[in-house]
Amino acid sequence: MTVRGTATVSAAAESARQMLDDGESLIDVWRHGVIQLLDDYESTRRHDGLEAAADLLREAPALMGEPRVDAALAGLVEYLARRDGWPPPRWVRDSERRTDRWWFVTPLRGIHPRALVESPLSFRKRGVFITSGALERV
Amino acid sequence: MSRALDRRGVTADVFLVGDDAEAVEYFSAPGLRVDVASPRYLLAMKLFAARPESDADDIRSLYQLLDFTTVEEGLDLVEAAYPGRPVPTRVQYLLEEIVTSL
Repeated sequence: MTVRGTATVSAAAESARQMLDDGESLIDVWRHGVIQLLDDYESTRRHDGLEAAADLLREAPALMGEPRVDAALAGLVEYLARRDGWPPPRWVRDSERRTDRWWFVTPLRGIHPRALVESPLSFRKRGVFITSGALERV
Repeated sequence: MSRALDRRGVTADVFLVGDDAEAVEYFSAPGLRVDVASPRYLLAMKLFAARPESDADDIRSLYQLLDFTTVEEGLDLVEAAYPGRPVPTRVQYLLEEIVTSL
């Protein structure tokens, strides 16, 4: 697994694509790709300010050919933009960045009803379902 | 209260419990000591957070490492680690899913 430092959403997408090419599971791509981007954004926001953090997410990443992950990255960026009060970049509205094959990120089926109810709008409208604590960092 | 630092120095103590009596010293120098948290301590933290997407695999591994096999063992650990704080419902539901799959 590749370990990287603070990165843009494009770099996160590239890292996720590499993980998928290496045969890693979707849940690992979530943990070490999508959530790593969240960590990078939060750290940059704390240390360098909101503008610097938003700059990490403004440039459109290349589509990686796995709509579930493309949708999750777009959902995360829109979620952070709306939460922190900066305009979501236009690329998050690309129609390719959603999945008709719903993705319940946890494979634990008993948790799926919770995710269906709790998933933030920016994720669920793209077909990605997470629980309310999925974006909390410990 | 214990405090954790991320790689850029951000503190994260929301979910941390008290001192870890079973921690193992990893490194020390004048003015600096780095401990490795014990499996029980890590499990208590992971269970209290109970994020299915991020914690389930770690909880499963820690359960196996500690030879835990029941939901009650996990709930007892959380109650002991966080005295006076109600155990969130999500902890029980997550544990029931994980224990079923052990």
